[in-house]
Amino acid sequence: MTERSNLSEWSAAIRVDLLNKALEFSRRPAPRGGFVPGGMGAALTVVDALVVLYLDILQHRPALSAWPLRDRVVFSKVSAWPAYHSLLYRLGYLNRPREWDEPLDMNADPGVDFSSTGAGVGLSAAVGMALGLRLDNKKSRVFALMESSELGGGETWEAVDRAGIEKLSRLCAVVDWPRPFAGSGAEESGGGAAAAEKFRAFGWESVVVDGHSHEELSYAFSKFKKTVTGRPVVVIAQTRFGKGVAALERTGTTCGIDQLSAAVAEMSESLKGSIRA
Amino acid sequence: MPDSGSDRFIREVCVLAGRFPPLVLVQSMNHDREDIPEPLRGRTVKVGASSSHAIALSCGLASVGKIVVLATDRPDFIGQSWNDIRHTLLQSLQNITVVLLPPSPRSVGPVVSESWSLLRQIPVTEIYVPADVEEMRQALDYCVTRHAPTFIHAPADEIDPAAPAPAFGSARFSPGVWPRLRDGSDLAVITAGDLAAAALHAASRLAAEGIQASVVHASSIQPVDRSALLALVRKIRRVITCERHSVCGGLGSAVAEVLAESGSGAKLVRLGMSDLDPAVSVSAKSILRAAKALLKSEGKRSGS
Repeated sequence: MTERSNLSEWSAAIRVDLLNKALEFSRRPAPRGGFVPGGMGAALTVVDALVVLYLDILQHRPALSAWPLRDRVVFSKVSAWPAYHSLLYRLGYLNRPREWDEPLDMNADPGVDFSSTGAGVGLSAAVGMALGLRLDNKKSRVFALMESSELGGGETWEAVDRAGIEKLSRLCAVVDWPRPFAGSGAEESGGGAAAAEKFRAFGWESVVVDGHSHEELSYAFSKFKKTVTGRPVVVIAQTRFGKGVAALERTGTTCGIDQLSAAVAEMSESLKGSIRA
Repeated sequence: MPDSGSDRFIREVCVLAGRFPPLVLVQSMNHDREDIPEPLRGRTVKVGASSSHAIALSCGLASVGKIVVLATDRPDFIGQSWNDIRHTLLQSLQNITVVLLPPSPRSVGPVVSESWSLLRQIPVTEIYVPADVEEMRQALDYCVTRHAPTFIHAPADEIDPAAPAPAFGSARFSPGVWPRLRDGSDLAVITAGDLAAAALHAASRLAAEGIQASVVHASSIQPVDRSALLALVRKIRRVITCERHSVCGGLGSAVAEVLAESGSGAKLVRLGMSDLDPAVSVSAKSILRAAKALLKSEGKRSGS
């Protein structure tokens, strides 16, 4: 188990990476830049779940990315890819950092179990992986990191249904559920607790946690790992959109380049001396 | 009761499952097959009539080392799951073979197929249209070792029993090769898939009237056998294409693109399905009628 202070450091370091990359992007001449990228808020929210998964929970080996007994991760939250780049680079999977809008490719990039530019397909792919691994009697687990908006798509619920019917007990969906803000649609759907109830109706176990609490995330994932209930598990991670940038957390929308620069300076200052290279 | 296309397909996939232990069958069917024998039975996933889920689920299976054969009898499968095909399947480039089976006779659904017109949008897509069960078996054999997504449009259940079987000789399925089944210099009939038999039947009837027609079997919609096509139109200036597909975007359009770009000047008639008259289907009779109309329009009479 990784020390809590280490998890906090990793989360902060990845957030600084994201802000720096976003700043770089915003300084590029148009049309490939010149504005604060959309998706920055989404990328910031998912950092804690990613860090806990990779440092505390997953069976994986950066030095042997194709290790056949590894756990699998489907990063379905496509708008937050930069968080994933940053983590995989810091773990040693990727040999160079990626630019904000550079996609990852499962056929070329080590550590990437699945890639798609389509929205809402991740859980279906994760179900396929879990089925395939079970056919081979492998004990590897599959995690699908999703965003709450995917629960508005029919394909996602087809996957939820299939996982429940097949009793895929080594499948865990992690749904990033940001606090509602105007236009997110999240407030209309009844919130994370209502979503958890819907999953239970399809034969899943479900738990709602603070998506920025490393302790709660770690507890929920560890419980999933140790318990084989015969059901897939969903962890609804309630988060704050744009976590780490006050302007984003407050409004749930984008922020200006000046606010971004200020956030970078503030976060870097607070981590001086302890940021990993 | 004769075997249906689905029966024959299941038999072939079972044989492949014996040879390839990682092979998994995913069924996205209006009417799931329940009678699947081992070893395939334990390696079959049914996803019901949902289509977009089937594609991404198959990608997940393939990502953990499975060879996936995804079978569907839904005529609208490609259209419904196009988003997932475009953004997931064709980007991940995994070993998945999508087999479009003939619709079950109990199905009620859309008649006009536009699948090929969608799939042709992506140049790397390979689309095979075998003329008969044996060619389908060979195409499946090729596709499951391909390590790339491929599509097979299985032959229809009812191939005209009066029609002669296509004469393939010793060389049958060869990816991207369009065999010439019959030689003739007055016009050429290029058919997709199981219409080869109907075209040969029509060609025999034309020959009895002194009209000599070449028949070419387009065993793939993509890739197009450009060299065979261009060699054909160097000597024959009248071409009819036939397909169980919309006249827009399928075989006829693929041939038209090659002919137009080459400046061949050949006259082309496309036979296929149309929303304007969905009940009309291509048959030996309609090919015969189109051939005579084409010759008449150019002032060519029988035997001249």
